[in-house]
Amino acid sequence: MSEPSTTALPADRTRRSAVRIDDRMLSIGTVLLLGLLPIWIGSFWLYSISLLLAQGIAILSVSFLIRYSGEVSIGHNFFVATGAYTIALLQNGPNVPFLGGVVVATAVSAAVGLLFAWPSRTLSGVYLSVVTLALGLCVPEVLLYWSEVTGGFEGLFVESRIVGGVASGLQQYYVALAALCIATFVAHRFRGSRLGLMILTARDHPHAAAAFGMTSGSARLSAFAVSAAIAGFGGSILGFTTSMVSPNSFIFWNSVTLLVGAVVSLYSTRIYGVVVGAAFVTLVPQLLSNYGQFILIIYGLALLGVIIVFNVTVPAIVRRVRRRRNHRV
Amino acid sequence: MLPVIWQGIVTGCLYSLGALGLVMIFKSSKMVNFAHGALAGYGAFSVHALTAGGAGWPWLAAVAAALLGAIAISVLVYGLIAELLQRAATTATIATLGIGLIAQGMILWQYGSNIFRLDLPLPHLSFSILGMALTAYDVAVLSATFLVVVALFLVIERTRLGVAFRAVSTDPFAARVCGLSISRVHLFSWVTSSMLGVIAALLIVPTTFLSSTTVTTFMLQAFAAAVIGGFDSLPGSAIGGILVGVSCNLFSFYVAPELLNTFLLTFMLASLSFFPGGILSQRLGSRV
Amino acid sequence: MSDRASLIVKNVDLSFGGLHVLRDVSLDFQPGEITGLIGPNGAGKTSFFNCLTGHYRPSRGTVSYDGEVLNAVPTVGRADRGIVRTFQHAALSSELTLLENVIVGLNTARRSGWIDALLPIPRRFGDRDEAENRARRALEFVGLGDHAALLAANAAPGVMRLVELARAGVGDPRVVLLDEPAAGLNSTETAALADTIGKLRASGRIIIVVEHDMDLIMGICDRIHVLNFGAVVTSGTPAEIRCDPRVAEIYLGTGDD
Repeated sequence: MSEPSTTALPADRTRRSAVRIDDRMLSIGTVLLLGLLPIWIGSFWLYSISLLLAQGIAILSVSFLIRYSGEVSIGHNFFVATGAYTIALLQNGPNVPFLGGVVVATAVSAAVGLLFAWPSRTLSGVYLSVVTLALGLCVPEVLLYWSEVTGGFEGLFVESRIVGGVASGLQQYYVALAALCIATFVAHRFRGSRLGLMILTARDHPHAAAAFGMTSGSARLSAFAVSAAIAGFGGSILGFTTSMVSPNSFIFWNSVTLLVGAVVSLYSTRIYGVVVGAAFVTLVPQLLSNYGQFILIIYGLALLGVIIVFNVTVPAIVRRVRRRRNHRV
Repeated sequence: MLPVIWQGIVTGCLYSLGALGLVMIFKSSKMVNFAHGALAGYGAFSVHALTAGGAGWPWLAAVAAALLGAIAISVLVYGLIAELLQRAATTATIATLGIGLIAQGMILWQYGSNIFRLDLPLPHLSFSILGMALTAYDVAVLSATFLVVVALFLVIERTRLGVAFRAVSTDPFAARVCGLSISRVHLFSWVTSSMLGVIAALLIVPTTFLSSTTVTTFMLQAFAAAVIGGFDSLPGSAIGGILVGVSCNLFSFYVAPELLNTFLLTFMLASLSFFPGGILSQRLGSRV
Repeated sequence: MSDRASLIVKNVDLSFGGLHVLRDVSLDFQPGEITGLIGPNGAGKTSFFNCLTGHYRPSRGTVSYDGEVLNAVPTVGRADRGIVRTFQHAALSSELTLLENVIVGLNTARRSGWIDALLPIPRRFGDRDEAENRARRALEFVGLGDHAALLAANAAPGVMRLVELARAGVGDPRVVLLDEPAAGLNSTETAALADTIGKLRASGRIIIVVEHDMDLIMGICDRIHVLNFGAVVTSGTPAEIRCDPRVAEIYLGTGDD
């Protein structure tokens, strides 16, 4: 603790600026690679990766929540479903165009998120997490119960073309990619905003944030609403890429998947991190499609392993390295 | 209506047992154990494997073995996440979700996705009081709950470990200053919680059947009970369990059984709006 | 808000359960002055600060600033009125850089909201650049200009203290409350800190310092109030306080520090 203030500074500075350049390069590289990918892959993989990218947006929403409010949600399938069904209903009823549908779906999800988080705004985060469990479980129930609106088991059809003349598979892919780029860009840029800085301060030191003008309750509500908005945005894109929405795509298990993806991506708000998380939760079930029990075990081990390695093992190594460096100094 | 309420009270007792386990852990460690249901389910499967599943053990011996197994597993789980607790409760909570997934995967791996019956070794008795049928099962549930709650109360009120548990739950820092061993108190709550979980699981399974998801599904009601009763109140969660049991039964019977989870969600949100921090916290004044 | 607004505390009592933390405290603080608050541990100094910032509500008495009674104003509202503080245990977000932590101090002065947070509008249209420049100057002011990009998680305790000071001072505050700013600092660092606090003095600004380091307090304060058992024992200039037998008695009598 009583490490002299000057010795450690310059090294940390150079390390940080080097990391910054790498981050940006990796993001741009990932986008370029994903943009060129359709040249080499067939239609099956094109579709799978479109889904992966749309799923990535939903994973980002969970990462965002954990990162900014320090709380866990296992009910984000609810907000993804809200976004997906909103755009489907808008298309099937008043025939709202795609972009308008996406904007409305995002706004509706944010509002629903705010409403949901409101009762637990001043309580310990435990209450919120437990209530998200019920939120995640009630999605298929609600969709099936009001089946005359939601289309029941079959669900609803979503238009999968925005412009004529381009194969719908390609349209779905590039829309999903563009949407993921937008979502990660917004989530990453949010950190530097006035609200982003205040929300992060409120997460670590509620009293300090209050002393500078933001209560922890409003910080948590804001973080939850933005997270729900991202999830709804992802849901509307997911509806577009799958060209239909049905209760099966929004069962509780999807929330678990989102959380596993978020943890594996280390709560990253960068596109390459999100893609790694999404790839993990897309590929593992595909490779082990006949061995359901192993998917459970692998997901469980991934959660436990990543959490323990990055919260216990890595800090221990860092401490050891620092101690050694201080001895040398 | 009366029989519906009565059945609700009986099931509610089991939700209370489940919720008490969750609250024990929250009070000492300030986190939610999302693996509670899956681990309790694992215990129920062990009892099934040791009795009906071929090994042919007597029921009591199998239960004793399952409880010992649950204790061993809870020690292991606590060992895995102990260090996370010192950093952030959120990471520990996510870790328990991972443990829950592993436990559920192990159940599927070992026992498949078949369903089994696992009854209590009780005579098929039923008698009628005030027009309500009272079965041997009901009596078993009520008496087991009563015994467990009394035992828990005695341990927490009368033993040194119980005193330490109460101290840690009101103020972990003060307890540290007093020289109490935090990890022993944590272990005590984790072990107790796992035993409560197995007992609740064994009592709930006879009402339906045993499958890989029975006990985790049942635990949702226990979570709801803890939210409604307050995560830091043992009596609150016991009452919460009965409230949840009765209201769920009434809702399924008179409204729509297929919307049960939605009902629980609404119930929890309403309870949090009107009784933040639990139904008992208002009347007793907020204890910070 | 006039430029010569003063902060007036009248007959403030604070108690938790049966424990009286503050008893009938009446003090007023004048703009342009640096006031010290001293007293043994548990004398109620930090509780007094918490009453000023709204973290605690006094059970009796009033806190008013610029003629307005603040009792019903929550912490957030007091921040809007230009009352800021530092914390005894540095309360910086470990995930943010030193610069970003200082920008937090500009929160009430900034006008950007959800549009800037969520839409990709160019930086020059928002107030991010402006905030960053002001925060950078505040960091230079406390002598940390070269370490703006350092993560708070990697900063030494002495550095964190200075960042807290920069965060409190960056938004041109009216009232600055410094809670043990020198705790855990060595003598060189404390001297630098005293310098910086001195530079924070401005004509319309009230600065209040709670501190155990007598040299620091005596060196920078215009007036000093001495608290013991939640009540004001005596007040005066540093020279008067130094000679006051009651002060020596409090410190020697309790035998601590």
